[in-house]
Amino acid sequence: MTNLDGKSTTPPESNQIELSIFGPGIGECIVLHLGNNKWVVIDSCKDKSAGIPAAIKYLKELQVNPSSSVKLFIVTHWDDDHIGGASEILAECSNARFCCSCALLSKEFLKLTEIYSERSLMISSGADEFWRIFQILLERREGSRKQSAGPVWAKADTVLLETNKESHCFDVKIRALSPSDGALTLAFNEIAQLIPNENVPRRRAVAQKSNHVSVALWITIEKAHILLGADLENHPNQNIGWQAVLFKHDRSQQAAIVKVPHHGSFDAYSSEMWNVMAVSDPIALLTPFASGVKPLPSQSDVKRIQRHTSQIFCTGRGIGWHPIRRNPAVERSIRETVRTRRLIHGPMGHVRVRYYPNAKSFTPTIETFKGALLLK
Amino acid sequence: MNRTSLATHDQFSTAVNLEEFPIEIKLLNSEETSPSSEATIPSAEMPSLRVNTSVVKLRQPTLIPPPKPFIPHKPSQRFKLLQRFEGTIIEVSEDECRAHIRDTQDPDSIEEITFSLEEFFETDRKFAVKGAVFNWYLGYEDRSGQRYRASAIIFRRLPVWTKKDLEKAKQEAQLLFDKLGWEINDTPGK
Repeated sequence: MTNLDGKSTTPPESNQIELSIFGPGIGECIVLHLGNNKWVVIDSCKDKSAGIPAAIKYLKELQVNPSSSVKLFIVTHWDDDHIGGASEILAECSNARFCCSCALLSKEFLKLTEIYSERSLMISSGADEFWRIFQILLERREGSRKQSAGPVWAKADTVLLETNKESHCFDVKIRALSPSDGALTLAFNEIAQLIPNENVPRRRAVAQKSNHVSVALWITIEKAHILLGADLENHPNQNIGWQAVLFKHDRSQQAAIVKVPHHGSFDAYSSEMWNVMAVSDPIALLTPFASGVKPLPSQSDVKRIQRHTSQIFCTGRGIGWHPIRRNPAVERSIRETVRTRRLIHGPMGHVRVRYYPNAKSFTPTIETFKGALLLK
Repeated sequence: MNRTSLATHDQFSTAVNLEEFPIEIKLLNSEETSPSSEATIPSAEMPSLRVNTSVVKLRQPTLIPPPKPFIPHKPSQRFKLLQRFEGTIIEVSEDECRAHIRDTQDPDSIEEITFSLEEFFETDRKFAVKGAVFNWYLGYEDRSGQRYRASAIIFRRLPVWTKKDLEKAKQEAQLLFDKLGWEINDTPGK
């Protein structure tokens, strides 16, 4: 494992798999190289320093053309921290199929995006980002790129992408593990509840508990498996969340790389998930969530995950960062007004795992960039 | 708690309306002599402003006299804006709220803060709900030859959703749904 602080611009070899995870403190994005310059992007967050999505910035640094090389763009759910800049990724990756949770296939969700498409508020919401995505899909449908119009609707057991050695250098299968049918029914009701009533003042749409409809992914490349847990959590109803996933899981398959669900939170922790779906001491990747009453991952979250692996790589610290120092009078006034205060966006941390799927043994190279670190 | 008036300033681009927009400023500390910062300004002297938040400039401030019928304060009173944040309430508990605030000059810089609901004017607390948007003004107030630090957290009074708005959104959603060619038959639960 090496910390290269900024020298991440060497592209992977054509027979090399890469999984890169980005996170600036609040936000998450995964970039996956499937071999032969075919890429998949999962979720989006913006690189504050460049003002563009982290995935696009990274691919361009690697001299990869997003338009021709990205084959699939998956948005796991519509929380703000997974969707910032997603419409820009879709616009850049003009030949990529767009994939999102089947929970959004409803007139109610479209109505919600129409309602919140008006940018009267400085702070955008996941709903207006989706509105821009739908406009791009509409343009594609009405234009010459109908094949990439999509979306591909993800729900449990849907195969989102499949290639074989004849069409590609490796056997690749990307399958959705969630949302389950039970979660979808719940989601439709929740989305309907987000639609404002008449005579209610306009507000910003704040997504509520959409984690149980997020799209967890099982990726098989040759013989190795990768589990991307999205923000999927446990749920009292065993037909929803990790219980539903575990019920259907083929126990002969175990992942060597695990994207820890929901920033390592207790609500998303399932010891059975680790024991059944992952190899012993897998590579665990996670992004922090420096927002909320209790930023994630906390020390206890890390200790809990360490029962299953010693290799937990995080793109940044979960405790937030010190805010920028402003005018001393402003600083004093802020201090006297607020009880707690922290900057939730830090440097864009990046963890990169590369390996050769046809090697005799699984020997990955793990690199950390910027604020990313191995949690101890 | 010290209450006093918010003087007008060109950075606010103020249009003052006594009825519609009561503004409450908490005096945090006097920067100069601060002799009687505990004194409460009589309510008759409390100003009321309507703030057009779309205009914020960083240049050296120049004062624009407020419209005559609505002059809310004595000419000696001036508010010098040092910082404006736009905030969204993320969560409200019994006595405090959690919010994300963005520096209007650096929108990518998001801070998460928690603060007491008492920071809002009493009648405004009912507006402190999830998703509500507010502006937070920080600066100096010059009054009677003294300078005070001042802070005002003011909800944006956004218009209500009308039946027409919601009906239009419904129609546009239906149109988009049809144009996108989605089929709802496959959707569980529908």
